[in-house]
Formats: sequence, C-alpha cells, structure tokens
Amino acid sequence: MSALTAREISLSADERLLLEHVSFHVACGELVGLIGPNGAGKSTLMRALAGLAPCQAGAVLCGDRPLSELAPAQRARLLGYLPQGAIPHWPLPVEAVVELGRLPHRRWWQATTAADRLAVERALGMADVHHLRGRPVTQLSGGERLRVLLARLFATDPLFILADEPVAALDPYHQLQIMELLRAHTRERQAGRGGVVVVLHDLNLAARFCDRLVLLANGRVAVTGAPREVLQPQWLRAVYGVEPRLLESDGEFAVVPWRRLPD
Amino acid sequence: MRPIAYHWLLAGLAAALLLALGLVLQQGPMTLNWQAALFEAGSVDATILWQVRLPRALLAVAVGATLGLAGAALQGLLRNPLAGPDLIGVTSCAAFGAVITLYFGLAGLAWFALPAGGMVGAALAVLLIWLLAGSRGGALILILAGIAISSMVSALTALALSLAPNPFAMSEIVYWLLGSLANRSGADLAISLPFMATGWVLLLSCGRYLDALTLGEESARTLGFPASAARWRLVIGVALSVGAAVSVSGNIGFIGLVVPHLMRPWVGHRPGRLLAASALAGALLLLLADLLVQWFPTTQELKLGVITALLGGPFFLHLVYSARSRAA
Repeated sequence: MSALTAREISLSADERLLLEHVSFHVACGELVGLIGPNGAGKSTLMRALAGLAPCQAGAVLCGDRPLSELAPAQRARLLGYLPQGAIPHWPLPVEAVVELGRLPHRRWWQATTAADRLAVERALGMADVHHLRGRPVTQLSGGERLRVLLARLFATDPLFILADEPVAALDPYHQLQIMELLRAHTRERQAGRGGVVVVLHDLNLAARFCDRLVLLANGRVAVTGAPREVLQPQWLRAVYGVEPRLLESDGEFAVVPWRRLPD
Repeated sequence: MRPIAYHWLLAGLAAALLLALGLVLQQGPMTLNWQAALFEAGSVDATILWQVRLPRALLAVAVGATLGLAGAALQGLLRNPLAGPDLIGVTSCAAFGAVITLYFGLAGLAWFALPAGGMVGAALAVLLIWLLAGSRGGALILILAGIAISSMVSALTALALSLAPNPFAMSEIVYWLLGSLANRSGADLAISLPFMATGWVLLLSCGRYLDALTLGEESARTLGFPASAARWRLVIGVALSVGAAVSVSGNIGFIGLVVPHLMRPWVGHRPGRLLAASALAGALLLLLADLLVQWFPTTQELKLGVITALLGGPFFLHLVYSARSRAA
C-alpha cells in the first residue's frame, strides 16, 4: 500500500462538471503540490481523494484497493484530511483536540491506551505545540491553531495527509513552518514514510517544497511534473493568465507573478 | 475552571443525585415514618412513599436526565451552544403530539400511544429544524426557526385543547405549556421510561461522533464516522427520549439549555463527556426544581416550568450577553 491513486475520475455537482478524467497519484515519501486558479477543482479533487465526494466515473485507489471498499475507520487510519479554513467549534484544550486524532485507532468501548498517549505526545512535539497543550484551541493565533490541527493529523499517523490550503492565512514565518511540518511527514512518520498532497496558491512555496506539482485548470490536469517543468511561463500564461518572472537564488528558483495578461 | 477527573465528576453528581432523592422523598405535607414506609406494606406511609413520592421523584430524575442529555446532544450535533430541546421547538412539538393523542381518543389504542404521540411530534420538530438550520444555519437562524415552531405549535396545542370536549381545558393548557410533575403515578413512569431509556442509550453512544464533530463535519467523516448513521442515531435518540418525557411531564423549559452550559467547563468542553455529565446534572436540577415547586407557599402548586424558566431565563440572557460581548 504505497500510493494513493485517482484513476480517470470525473465528478459533477448541480449539473456542473467539476473534474473531468483526472488522474493523479502520490507515493510514500512524496510531497505533491496541487496548484491552479480559483475554481479549477483543487478542493474537489482533495475531497474526492479523501473519500468525501463520490466520483461519477473512475476510482480512487489506496494501494490496489478502491477507497470505497475500505471500512470507514480503516480509511481514517490511512488518510488524514485537513479541510480549508478548519476551526474547531468548542474551546477544547489543545491536548484534547490532538487526542481526537486517535479516534480511528480504537473502538467505542476502548479507553485511551499507552500507545494513544505516546502518539499524542509525539504529535505535540512534532508540531511544536507542547507548550500550548492546556490552552483552549479557540484562543490560539492562526499559525498556532494550524499547528494544532496538524498535530491532530500526526496523532492519527495516517499514510497520506491531504491538506487543503493550509498556509493561506498565515504570515511568511508560519507558512515556512507548516511546509516544513508537511515535509517532515514524508520523512519521519512513526511507521515509515508518508505521502502528502497540499493545495497551494503560493507558487514559491510550491516550487521550493514540493517534489512534484499538479497544475489543474477547469477540472482537468493541465500539466504535471517537477516544479521546474510545471512552473514554466507558457503554463502560467495559459492557466493563470499572468506573465511571470523566474528568479534563481542559491541554486533554487522562485516565481513572481509579474503582470496580468490582457483578457 | 480546571476540569476534574471525569469519573470523579460523574461519581460526585451521582452521589448528589442520591442525596437529593432521599431529601425529596422525605419532603412533603406529611413527615414520613421510614420504618413503616419500608417494612409495613399497606400502611399509609408505605402508600405515600411508593405510590406518591417515589414515582414523582423518579419521574423528575428521568425527565431531567432526558432534557439535560438531549440538550447536550443537540448542542453537539448542531455545534451551537444556543440549541436546547425547548428553544428549538422540540418539546412543544412533543407536547402537541401528546395532546393530540390524548384528547382525540387515540391514547386508548395502545399502552404506548401517548408517548408515541410525543415522540412523533419531537421527531418532526428535530427534522424540521435540521432542514431549516442544519449545522450551517448559525445561531440566529436556529433560534428564529425555533421561536416560530414553538409559538406556532403552542398555539395549536391551546387550540386543540379548547376544541376538545373537555371542561378543564384552561388548566390543561397551562399544564402542557408549562409542564408539571404533580399527580403523576407509577403508570406514567412505566409507559415513558422504556422509551426514554432507549433514547438515552442511543444518545450516549454518540459521544465519540460528537467529539469528532468538533473539527467539523468533513473532518469527522475522515476520522471514520459516516455522517448519516450517527446523525440518525442522535435524531432518533432525541425524539424517543424527549417525546416520551414530554408526554408525561408537559413542556418543561430551559433545563436542556442550561445544564450543558453549567457542565461544559467541568468536562474540558469535550462534547462526548458532556453527555453523561449533563444527564446526571439535569436529573439533579429538575429534582431540586420540583422540590422548590412543592415548597413554594402558593395556594395552588406552582407549575414546574415556571421555576425552570425563572431560573433559566436570566441564565439565557447572560449567555446572549456574553455572546454579544465576544462578538464585539
């Protein structure tokens, strides 16, 4: 069970086609960035990968088994999903929020075990939220809250993490920190290496942190490949409608959307 | 407030409940001779204990537990601290269902017809609220929908009672709209308890789902909780327990709103743990309120709903006020 694969999936809602024959895969050890303009179908693809939106055609496979064949708890142990703009509803202490990540690991009659507590401690440490453990989660800043939600995912310790625009509302420092944490999941998961799919609007973060990028446009995959191959001027012009400047620094490259192309 | 160990909290509440139960059984116009009441079958004391005071006290416990538990469950489900079985119209619809069964001759059809009427009413109310407000509707929509449903259904209840061939319509209307446990017998307990207990089991089994729901509906699903199954369990649990409770007690307000709020800091705001704690605290609170009703020196016994509204109303205002200052 080493890859999460979407095979030719199509998905429509209210008679509008949101995804059309999209194929996608993420392997263990890989950080894949999903980019594209607003309304391109990024969140829909994430929800389909998480098993939240049923596909009208095609299938999502975890390893070689269709996602729809897995029991809910089993699926929850394999896939962790971080929705866009997620805010916890009650002022739970941070520790309790992280503990929610252990729910798929025990049956309803089982109390928390030593393994649960260990996983929670490890997740608190990994996301650097140890010092916040007693604080009500609703009182945290945006960056802190996101780290707590990531710690919740780390506590589940899924094979794949699907994060939908996790850095959208964060300052540069915290954006880098969150990307580093997602990167960490691909390397030092508790049981081997994990895979991550992350939706990004910031092309520079996509260029610097992702192993591979998938550029979506109008519900289809426009291009996929290494960041240098995808973030080419012709693609950015065609899909985003912007003229980019490409910069080199320390052997890495950055993309600056420079000006809008005339409509 | 620091949350104390969960099992100590439950043990403390249970102990307080037993203590209050003893106090309530002792209380009344006649001082009870426990020796006679317990060991001399057929004595006046025994009759008073077993046929008057105990059914009423146990009914207060069961109805209070139902309202507290249903309040905690609804607040968790709708992720809205202003939900409560009475505020969103569930109890008034249950009362209406019970009134229809009772006054149009349907109650005689089967022993469970009366609570069934209440349960159907409660189920319709929960579904209606779900359709109108869901979990996305926000507090305002929820409360407004609840007000509309409550006042409409209360009016219908009064109308039904006035139309029914019944010389005591006025006092009956007051009973159903305000709720009371006066003159309840063991039979009332017997017809309602099985349904309340079934509802409790269903609601208590949803604790983990409500915990997961803290992170939002989609996160809960990716944590392994298929949305529909648990949601139906909650809706049916609320309908069974509240419907059955209201059909023997009338519409007792505010317990379902206030109790989860009082308990929430004690369980670290965990929606799952809130369930059992709210059930025990609801039972305790209603038992004490019923005691207060009997103590009050009024010529006619005060309706229980009057006391709970007098206690709960200001509390509700306080909630609204603190929500306002948080929004500012």
